[in-house]
Amino acid sequence: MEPDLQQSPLFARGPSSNARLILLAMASVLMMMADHRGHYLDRIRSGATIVAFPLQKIAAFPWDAGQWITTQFTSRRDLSSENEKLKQRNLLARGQLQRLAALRAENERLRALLDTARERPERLEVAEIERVDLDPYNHRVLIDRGSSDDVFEGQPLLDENGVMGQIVSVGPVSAYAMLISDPNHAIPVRVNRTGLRTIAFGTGRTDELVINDLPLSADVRRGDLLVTSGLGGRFPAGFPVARVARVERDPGKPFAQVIAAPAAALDRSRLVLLVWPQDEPEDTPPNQEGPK
Amino acid sequence: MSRRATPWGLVIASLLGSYVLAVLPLPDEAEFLRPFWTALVLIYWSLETPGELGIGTGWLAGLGLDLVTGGLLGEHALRLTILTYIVARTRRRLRFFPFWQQALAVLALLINDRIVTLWIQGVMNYPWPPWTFWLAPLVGTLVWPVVFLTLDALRQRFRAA
Repeated sequence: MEPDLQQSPLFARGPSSNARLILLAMASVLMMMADHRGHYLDRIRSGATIVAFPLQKIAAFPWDAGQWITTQFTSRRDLSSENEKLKQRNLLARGQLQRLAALRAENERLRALLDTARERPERLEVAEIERVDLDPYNHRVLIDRGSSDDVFEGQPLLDENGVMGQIVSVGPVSAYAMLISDPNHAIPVRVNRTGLRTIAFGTGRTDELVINDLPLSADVRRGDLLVTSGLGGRFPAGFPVARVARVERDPGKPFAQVIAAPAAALDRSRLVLLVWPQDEPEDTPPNQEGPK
Repeated sequence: MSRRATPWGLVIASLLGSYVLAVLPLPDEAEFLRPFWTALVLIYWSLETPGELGIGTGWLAGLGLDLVTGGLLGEHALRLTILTYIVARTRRRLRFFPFWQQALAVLALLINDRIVTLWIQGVMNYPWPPWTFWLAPLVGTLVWPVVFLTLDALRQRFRAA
């Protein structure tokens, strides 16, 4: 590059800086491989949240403050009209729940007849997504709950409409969750209408999941709801994941390609639900959701 | 070229400040326009504190950024190692460039960083970024004078105190 570099006493460290570049670059590449392939470094990340979280909190401060100010200055009229609306929604939700209760009881009886494992109610808790922008290439979010709230690695995360993702690393008071749209994420799903089981992969876009392993003849069509199948034991069965947006059947290819739109508002939800699944995946027989 | 001690307190504080700016919430459309603040801060310090702030600092700063952004561990570390290496090798010329030429050099550094990023993402199988991805170096060059003057003013005050 510069022939005089090595001769100048000021730059006597020239060659050693090359060596250091190679060393540090190799260290970085090794770390990336360990992080990407094996998730060996999640513990480091969890430990570092102690330092990282205050910085993230500072970054979120303008938004938090804005939120606080709007809450403080919301007029009484707005509040009462919102309250009215929420009451109506609550009533509707309760009405639907009544039917669900009957269905659940019926389901329990049928399960008892079939002698399969019973579903136990899950524990749910509300968490908030911190308003910070993490690395734009990974679809990850930061939530304000951590190991002090019993959050654990692999824990499912929902919003009011469906599955959001799962927790990947946990710090004391915060945790990172990977969204189902992350290119590294895969979620076992079932087509609700037919019971067909498959796996939905993230694409790196918040409005698309993709399924690549269905045969061309598979019975799946636009508008089908995909729900968690419960296989793999990570996500409890039966939560909505996505709705099929289009099915591409290219006769030249061995598999159909199904594009589905996530049910959860992956890029908009602020309040999310953490699920503590109660049913043990081991004692549920694999053909639990077999053909009807 | 004064060979006085590097104000490490200020270096660390400015790096932490750049981390906060790196995760500051922006609308989704503007996400790829976000300037690479930590790189700008590192460029400033490696130009102004000759020989002391090297690629080791760049690597550590990148590692910290990886932890704060929750991204792939080692990605920013690699990017900033390469960046500080190039600055270290060309520092002697860069330091005496007129201001606008220095800004052009910053642009070149940031574009080079984008190419490195693209490599990493290619290896990791991430989808091709939108075209706005290439605007970030321009935004970075536009804010470079602000970073430079702010850090310069802070350093003067620090020295006076």
